[in-house]
Amino acid sequence: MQVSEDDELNLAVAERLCLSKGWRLLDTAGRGGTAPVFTVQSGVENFALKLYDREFSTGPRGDESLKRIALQVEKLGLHGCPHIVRVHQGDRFEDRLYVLMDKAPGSELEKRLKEVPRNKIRSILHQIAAGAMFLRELGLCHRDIKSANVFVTDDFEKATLLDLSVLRDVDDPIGLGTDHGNQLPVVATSRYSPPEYLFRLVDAGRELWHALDVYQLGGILHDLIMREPMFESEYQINKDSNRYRFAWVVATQDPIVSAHDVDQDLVILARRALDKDWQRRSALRLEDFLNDAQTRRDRGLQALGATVRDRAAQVITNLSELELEETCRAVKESIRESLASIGIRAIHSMNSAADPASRVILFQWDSGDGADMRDVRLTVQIGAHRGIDAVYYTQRATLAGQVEGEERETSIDYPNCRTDSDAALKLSEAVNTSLGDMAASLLQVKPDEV
Amino acid sequence: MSLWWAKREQLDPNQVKLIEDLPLDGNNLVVGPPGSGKTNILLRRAQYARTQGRPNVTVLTFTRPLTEFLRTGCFAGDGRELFPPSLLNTYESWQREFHRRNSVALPDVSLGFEERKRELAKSTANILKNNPIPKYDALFVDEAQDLLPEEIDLILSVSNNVFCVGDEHQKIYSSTSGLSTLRAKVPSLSEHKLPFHYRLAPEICEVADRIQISSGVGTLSDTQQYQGPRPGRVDVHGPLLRADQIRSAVASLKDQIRVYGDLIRDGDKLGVIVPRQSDREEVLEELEADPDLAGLAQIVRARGAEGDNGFNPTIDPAKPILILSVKGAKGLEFRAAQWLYADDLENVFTPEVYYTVVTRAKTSLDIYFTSKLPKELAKAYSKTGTSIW
Repeated sequence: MQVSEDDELNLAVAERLCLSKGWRLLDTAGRGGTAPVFTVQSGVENFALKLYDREFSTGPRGDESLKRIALQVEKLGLHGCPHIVRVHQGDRFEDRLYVLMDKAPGSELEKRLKEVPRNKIRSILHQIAAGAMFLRELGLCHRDIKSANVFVTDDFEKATLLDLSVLRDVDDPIGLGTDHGNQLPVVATSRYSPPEYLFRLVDAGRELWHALDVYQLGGILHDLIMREPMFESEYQINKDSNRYRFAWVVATQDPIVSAHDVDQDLVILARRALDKDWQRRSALRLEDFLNDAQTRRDRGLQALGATVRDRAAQVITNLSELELEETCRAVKESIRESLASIGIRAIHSMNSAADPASRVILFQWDSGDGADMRDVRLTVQIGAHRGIDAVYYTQRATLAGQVEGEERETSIDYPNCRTDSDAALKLSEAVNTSLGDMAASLLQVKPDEV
Repeated sequence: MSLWWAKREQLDPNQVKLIEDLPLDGNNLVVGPPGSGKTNILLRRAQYARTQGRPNVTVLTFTRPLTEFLRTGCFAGDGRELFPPSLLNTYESWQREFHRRNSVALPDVSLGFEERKRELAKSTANILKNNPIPKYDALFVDEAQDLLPEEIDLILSVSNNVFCVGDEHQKIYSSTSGLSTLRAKVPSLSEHKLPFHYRLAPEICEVADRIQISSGVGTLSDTQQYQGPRPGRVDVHGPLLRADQIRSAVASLKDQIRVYGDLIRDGDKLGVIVPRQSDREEVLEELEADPDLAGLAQIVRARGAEGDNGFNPTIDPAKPILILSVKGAKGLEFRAAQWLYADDLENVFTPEVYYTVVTRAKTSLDIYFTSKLPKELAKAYSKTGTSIW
């Protein structure tokens, strides 16, 4: 590796810092967007030392960075969450800012994506989501959750969320300034940014930060499922030339999430989490990314009476009413089969509800004597909707029933779905995999402790 | 494996309740659409009664072929007897037995079908009046919608309890209404509806739903819980010369033998349904002439509806293609059915007959006609997506 003048200079500063602190400099571990990271030894333990470049250490940017470092040390401190790196100290040294952190075991997830076994996806996602929930409890938002900021051990058992450098207090309306002043953010960050955040379309606040967390957890899940970072091919084309084009792509294109060897509920979860519509996306909770989501779903399904085992006219341009009806009929059949597979036998019907561009599918069943929910109705409304470039299906599922004598109802609006040959499959899978979540939410089943 | 002796885990809770939870004494009627498990419930309930100290039971079915199929399922895979085959009978053979035993002549075979059934029942009642037999603990009666009042009287006179299953909409003999007679004659009759059915693909349900209303809690489409291969299909071919209809059916059968091979090995059958008994020989000849189908087809005759001459009720399990008349298909089911000459005898067939034939097919149904598609089928089926110009 070629050693640049800057690298030599950085190394010299790090050596002087270590000398003054009584640490031992072991090696250069890597380099982030704003700073090199060194491995240092203090006592018998190894730590990661992040030494900010001069341009991020001085002037207005330096002041901003110092405030962020203080936030990490003061608000987070030596916390007990195993899924987030701990920050031991941070301060100014000569003309530089530095942070001393735990050295997370393993290596960057982004570099290991191709190797992650399918059966580790849930557990990795769980750990990162648990980390985000921990920060949320403290009123903080990481803002830069991505595979490059996650370390995984070689056996893929343990995942740690790193780089708290753009951490932010969710209740602070001013916050610590924007990351990049008034210009477009750097490309590396934008690829995991939802449009409303990338273009500052929504004011800072809890809603924005929640929508961002959900999107970025969706990004992690995307990378794990697709085995490459989001928008990788676009990134390779545009990284040096056209950051505006890249931002446009990121803000307007839906990344493809699809795999046959991954549980389909994870695929649907990723698609919902990466929905460009931030309000629809925000209906997901951080809990939905936890590993016990399946357990809660099962508990919900049991409440419905399910046996949970161990394991002609052109209505819209280019889409006839017959086509819509055939798609909906296939969706109905697939949902019916899915219900039957968990022991629920429902009366099922479909009607047009006086709107030729939509169909309403209704399932009704008797949940059985022992079930917590009675008079259960699952309604799936599928509409054909003309977008800018094509016709899409819109989809909303509503689960309603009597719980303790009280009528309750919960709905999910799904991302738009292309009217291609897979549409019926995608539409029905979305409902099949979220039924348990809807049931759990109706019953207000609490998550297990994180 | 038997299609008719389902295991407990294959049944839904409603079905299991009717087998295990009803009181031992009482008169019951179970109604439900095709494929709702009526015959299964009938058999398992009879078996259950025998395990509860009620050994003197008999299961009565309508057609010989069905009885033959049921008997083949009386033994479990390990050779254990589930139910004595001798306690499974058609109405006809059950009554013949009393005549033979008491040396009484059978009624004149030249009478019409219904009239002969009536006379037979009266004659049997007469024999049993003079030569009483111990009362049955229970009689288990299939296809009760087709029973004549005289037959119902006979059954009630010899048994302490009756357990009947039926479906008004699968009534194939026009003048009878067995279920309403039964309700009138047995005030204590307790009636149960089966809400779901499992046999018919959604595509078949849609056609049947346009022919007539179904028993149960909704349309066949709304209540189907189909579990078989996909997609289901219904296709209508015609007008075609008779020879072309058979040729086309032969081509379909060759495909189906292959496509449904695994299911056929497990006991599924393919059906060729024709309006007249005399059509069956012609079809068999054509099938035998095809090198791929030779030896795979057999004619299935329903005794009772025809004379006794040369009657052989055995069904060869090695021949999965069954050739039957519309009436002979009653109570049976086919993975795929070919219905030939569907416009023949249109004047004598009721909507119930069309409905019954359509619902014999579980996954695939091909209908062929010679000159014009009968109204009942025309209003139930059209090809979609074809140009109207």
